[in-house]
Amino acid sequence: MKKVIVLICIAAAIATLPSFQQKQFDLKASMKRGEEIYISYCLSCHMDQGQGIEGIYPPVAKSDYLMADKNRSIIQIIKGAKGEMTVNGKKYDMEMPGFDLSDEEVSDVLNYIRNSWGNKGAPVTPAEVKAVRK
Amino acid sequence: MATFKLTVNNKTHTVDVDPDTPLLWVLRDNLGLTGTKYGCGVAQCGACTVHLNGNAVRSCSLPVSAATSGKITTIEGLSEDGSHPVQLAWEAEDVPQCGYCQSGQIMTAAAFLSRKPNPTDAEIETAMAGHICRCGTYYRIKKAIHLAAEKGGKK
Amino acid sequence: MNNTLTLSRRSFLKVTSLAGGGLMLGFHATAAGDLLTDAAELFEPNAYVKISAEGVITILAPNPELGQGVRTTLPMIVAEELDVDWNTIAIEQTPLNTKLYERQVAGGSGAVRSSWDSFRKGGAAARQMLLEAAAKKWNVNVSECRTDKGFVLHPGSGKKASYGELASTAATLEIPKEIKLKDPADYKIIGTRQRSVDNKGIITGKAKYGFDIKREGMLYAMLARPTFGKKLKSFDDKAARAVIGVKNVVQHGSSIAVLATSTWAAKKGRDALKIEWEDEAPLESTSDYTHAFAKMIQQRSDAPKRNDGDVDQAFAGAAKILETTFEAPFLPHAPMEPMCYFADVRDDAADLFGPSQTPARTRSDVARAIGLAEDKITVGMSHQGGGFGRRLQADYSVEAAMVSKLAKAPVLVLWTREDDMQGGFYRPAGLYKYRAAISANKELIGWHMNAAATNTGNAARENSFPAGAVPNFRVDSHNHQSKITVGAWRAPNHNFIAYTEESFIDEIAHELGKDPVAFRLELLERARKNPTGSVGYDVDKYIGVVKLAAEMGNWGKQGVNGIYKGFGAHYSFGTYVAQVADVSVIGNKIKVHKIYAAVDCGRVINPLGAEKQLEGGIIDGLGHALYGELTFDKGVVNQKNFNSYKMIRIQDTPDIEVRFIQSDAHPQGLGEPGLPPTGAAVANAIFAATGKRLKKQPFDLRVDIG
Repeated sequence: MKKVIVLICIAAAIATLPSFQQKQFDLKASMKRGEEIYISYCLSCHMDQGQGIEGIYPPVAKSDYLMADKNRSIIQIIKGAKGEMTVNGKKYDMEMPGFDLSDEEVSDVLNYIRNSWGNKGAPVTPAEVKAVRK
Repeated sequence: MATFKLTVNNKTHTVDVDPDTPLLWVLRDNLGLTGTKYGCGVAQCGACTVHLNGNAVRSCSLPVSAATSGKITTIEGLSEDGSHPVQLAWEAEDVPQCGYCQSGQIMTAAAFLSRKPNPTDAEIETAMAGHICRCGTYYRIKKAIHLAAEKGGKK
Repeated sequence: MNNTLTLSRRSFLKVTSLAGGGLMLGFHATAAGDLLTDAAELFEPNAYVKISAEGVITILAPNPELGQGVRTTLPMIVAEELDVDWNTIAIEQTPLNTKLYERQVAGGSGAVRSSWDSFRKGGAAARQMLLEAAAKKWNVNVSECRTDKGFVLHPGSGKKASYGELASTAATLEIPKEIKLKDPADYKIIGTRQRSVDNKGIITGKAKYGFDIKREGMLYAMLARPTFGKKLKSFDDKAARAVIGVKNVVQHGSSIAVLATSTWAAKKGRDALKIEWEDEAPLESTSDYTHAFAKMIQQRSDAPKRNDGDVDQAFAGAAKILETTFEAPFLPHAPMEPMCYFADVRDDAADLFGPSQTPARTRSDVARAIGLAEDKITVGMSHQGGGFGRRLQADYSVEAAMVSKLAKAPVLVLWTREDDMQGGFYRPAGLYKYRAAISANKELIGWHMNAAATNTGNAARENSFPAGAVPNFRVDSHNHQSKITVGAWRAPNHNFIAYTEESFIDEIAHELGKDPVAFRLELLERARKNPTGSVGYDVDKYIGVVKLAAEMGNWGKQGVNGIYKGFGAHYSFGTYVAQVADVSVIGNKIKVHKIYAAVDCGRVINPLGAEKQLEGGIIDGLGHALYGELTFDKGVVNQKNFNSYKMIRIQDTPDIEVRFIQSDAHPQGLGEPGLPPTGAAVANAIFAATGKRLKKQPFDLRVDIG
């Protein structure tokens, strides 16, 4: 009997773990770290307000394409992006290189992009990046 | 191959090149404007920076086909004689060492100051973070941008 | 010095014919930045000075310039002795000429320190001849004449003539046998702050670098090269030849060159090659060589690089032994301008042009490769987008010459960034183990360094401080043979060893409960009063910079406003540099606020240029300590471009304050010595802030290394 209770307790603890982690994830700190990555690697094309340059570099501010798929963004940061894409009704066809960033760094820069200039998105955790990387 | 009309430094040029040729190589090989440099080819170092309609863009990853509709300015067209306030400030602070990255740095600084005439240190760092200088002239670049701002970088 | 009186126009005509071919720099500029066109020379007394019929005074700059400032500094020395107005003279880059110049090399921080006398004499000889010309013209005694800013004056009669007016007479005179140099107390140019003479060309985009070379009929070439351990098995160039603009494909050894009428066509053609490579050696990965190093440093070498006293006895009798191992990654030079070179090889002659730190080696290596005598080969120097040691190699120039020879065409070989990262001659990776023996009465009695690195004859710098200050001192060095090519990288060996030595000294000081600066001074006093073996540095100069840096950096106060201080000092290339780093650490984030540097490099020729070399060296040292790391996977680099190879950027740049010790001593090196102490000063400050000793570059506080 005692054993069963212990097992149930552990199961409950495991079940609550993800939401617990979610609560613990410090989005603000992650965004702050992400901003530093953004200005070194992203800003020169996607610009200081995420506005991009129409017809050349797609915007990341208020971008339907960006916000539609979190996992796609993770892959694009790791592996780069190539080929035609439609962003806010406009076509873009440029190549972006992939970046050698750690799981935490990918999550940080995405959290900054996904929560700046009017964007509001669910946090991207390093664990999610790790899962996508596989 | 295809024909493209480009407006560079207020002159119109017609070039016959592969449509996917980056603007950088058209400027350098076809138009002889070699002040714009190759450093990485993937928009990560800033050596190839030119202005497209006043915006600082990376010519190494901008296909010529995407550059036909705007006004392009290269370092050779920033001023006729090196008298743009940013160029003068670069000289006054003796910024260059090997000098290879500097035309790109100057183009970004000029576009930035025209939008933000009195920047703080942090704003300068954000604007210039996309540029790499292997000689480590960053310290003087910062000083030069402040100096250009004082002297009226907007021109 | 080799003085030749040149009255003919021969050398001048050679220069203009080159200019017509588009190979010379497109212009020369005065020090003030005014652009001048070529003019006929009247007076060319030696290889350093020429004066034209129009009165233009040109000072020749023979050394390769890659940002270290020699095209400004060396002419300043000539101008001083010639006695001219610095702002009116023109500077002209010369081609390679080993008969006229003793050392056209950018390496070893050696331009000024090795050429100080010859450049002074070059200016002084010309001045003496101009004085004699005036005396002859005016029929007065030469001792009654003097010079002032490009004029000869005869105060007795009030006569005055410009150097230009005297040039034709001066050209008829004998070169003086005895050359009298100025009293340094009379210097007007040496010791003044002068901006780079190249600024104007750079800021207007007119300066011509290797990538910018263009010549009639020239083809652009890009090559596919094997990675480390591979060789060419076969290739199919059908798709490459189909690219519009591609003119030829040639094979040179295991590399294949695609030649085209534009850069982009050359690149597309190169990328369209279908190539099969095969292994010619075991393919090395980072874990392979790091394991090899770890084994090596467990053993002693047969012939230690230095062996004072008896380390075994010292360690056997020690009350305490400290041991630390430091790990160095490979580093690419990654100059902003990737490798490139122009070659026009014909049956009977060849012209070479482009960036090189050692044009003489370029010529001899090319001569051997293409089978032409050296005197049939001209070598011109372009501006260079940095070098940092990479351009001391001649692989890329030999390759360009071979491609030109095989294709029978003038070619400009261009490397992409990816080519440059993979085709490097890197800073060697290495592992450095240190042990210190501490006696019962808290003295450092034994020091043992055991180093292993890739492809270097000597992985150590055995005579660096504290050698000479420790009674039992041994240095062992091991070489790991590898297919991965290495070469000199700004401050070779010093660039990492200074960090290891100075971190370990800091660790010992803390173990002994002594202040790190006081501990260094104590050791230096020991090297002075009771030296062991040879002492390879000047103790007084060393103490001078240590004390000055400590004073500049307010040494002693830790943790004020969250700022922690670290100290590092090193002697290299004749110059003593000590630095204090102000650092704060928040979480895992290292923020370097300020670096204070005290420097003794003898006489400072151009204080502004000297400061810039220190600033650049410090940022270089800091950037690579924080970020630099090149790793390999089966002979292939993992960091192929700047999206994966991290370099220091403007937001990581600290404030920098540099002071030079006032000195009349022979000038010493400056291009390299600023770099070595920085990594140590920052690592020691991080220890002060966190209690963590960083034993690996790049620094990473997330890795717990105790």
